[in-house]
Amino acid sequence: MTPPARSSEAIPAGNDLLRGSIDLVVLSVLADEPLYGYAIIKRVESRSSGSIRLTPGVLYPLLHQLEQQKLLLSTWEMVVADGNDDASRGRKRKWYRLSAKGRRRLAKRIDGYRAFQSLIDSFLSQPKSEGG
Amino acid sequence: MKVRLDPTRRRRKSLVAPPPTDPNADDRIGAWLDVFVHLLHVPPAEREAIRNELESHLRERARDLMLRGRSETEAAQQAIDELGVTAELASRYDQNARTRYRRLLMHLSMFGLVAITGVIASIALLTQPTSSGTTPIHAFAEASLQDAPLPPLELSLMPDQSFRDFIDQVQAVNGVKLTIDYRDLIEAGIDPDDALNLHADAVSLEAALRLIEVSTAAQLAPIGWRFDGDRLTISTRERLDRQETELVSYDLRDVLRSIAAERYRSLLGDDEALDHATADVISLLQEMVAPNDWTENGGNLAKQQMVGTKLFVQAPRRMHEKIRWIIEDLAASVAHPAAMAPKSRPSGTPHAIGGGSSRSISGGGGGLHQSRAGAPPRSSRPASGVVPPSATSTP
Repeated sequence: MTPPARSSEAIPAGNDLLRGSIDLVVLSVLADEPLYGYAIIKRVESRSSGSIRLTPGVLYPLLHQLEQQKLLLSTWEMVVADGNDDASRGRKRKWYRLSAKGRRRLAKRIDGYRAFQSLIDSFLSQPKSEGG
Repeated sequence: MKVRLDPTRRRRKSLVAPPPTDPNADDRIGAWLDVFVHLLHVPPAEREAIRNELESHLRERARDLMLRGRSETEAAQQAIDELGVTAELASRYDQNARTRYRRLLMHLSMFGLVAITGVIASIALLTQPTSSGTTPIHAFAEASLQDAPLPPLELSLMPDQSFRDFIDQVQAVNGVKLTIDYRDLIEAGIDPDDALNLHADAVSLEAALRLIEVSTAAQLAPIGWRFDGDRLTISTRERLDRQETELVSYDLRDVLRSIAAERYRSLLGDDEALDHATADVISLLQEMVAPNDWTENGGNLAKQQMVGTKLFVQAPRRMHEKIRWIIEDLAASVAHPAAMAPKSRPSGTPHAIGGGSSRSISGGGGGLHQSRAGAPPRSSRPASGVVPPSATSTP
């Protein structure tokens, strides 16, 4: 997948368009491989070339919610050591992966998103002089 | 499981020694987490899991920031600040828990809460003190909100029997007049001609309907019924609810004044105190009475509008019974106890609240007045422990 061209400004997490699609973004990155919260933030930022920066204050409650809805499954990992960072030893990390229900939900969300996008596109492509 | 996140970053980390840890620096992250978890209203195990996850995030993030040159204290503070306002973050988690709790309540109410609450209410009534002057146990019987009692039929379900066959059996056993809303039942997931694949001997009509509900998609749109002693109507509960939606006004004047005075007036002005009291009462009703059905909670059956000290609620009849009970209970705490007790209440009978249209509960006027537009009120239900006040019909 080709990452989008880097935009001059990041889309703030509070942006209305993004706010309605954050779950779609999170489910999509988890469809590729299991990740933990901070890694999701970095992955989204890198895949959007820095355009989308998920704030942890939004992401973690969302992960909690998606897990409660059984869309995500989680496992805890005891961090042995991160590089030469001894302080990380013994810390717990929560890894998330998509459940079967989560995959079905993602497919449904993608269909819904595409249908919505195509509907909006149909307005945007209308000639200005129509009916005139 | 192989996870590669950012190889470049990983290499750099291994080459660059982490900044030295300041032994005198406060553990800001630990202190913040201690405060944060106290704001959470979730079960202890969940609280611990949330804490562990956020701690992992904060320490990893702080470490990244330290690698970019921030001091330990600055890095910890920035990582915390990035989480946003602490109380807002806690409320997002709480919102998840509330949603889950509501779902649980919805499922419980479908499958068992009704029976459990009925038993509890019965025990409460049986253990009610009977001596004059004692306070009766004041409990709302959820069972009274359920569908009307069905004729006492004993039925059998066979695996190859369809819903239509079942209905024929009901008619054959008792000759009861039936109205079946097949269109709604189909939408609820019951195909009248599909085999039910159920086997049960000698079950009551209610038990049979519950079995059908649980074994079909009708769990999502529960079956409802009404039996008026002559005719049995079976449809979805939502359809029956809609048919029985009533607009009722509740006069909360005294209740609101009392709550405002007790809880807020020492801190706020009169108007603001009243606003807070109003919000408290509405929040109580929307949390306790069919939370999923209020439009404010994402439902589509009940809505409310406050005008001055009058609360207008448009909702199914079953919800009004519980709303009325809660408001009466609040009003009872406002009213003077002497004004509450019916003068000729026989020893051992349930305590009656209200009892007349536009009746004032407190001695000084106000109290609970009701008027309603729509169907007449259900008959009193002494078994519930509460006799609802009669309402004034509004044409």
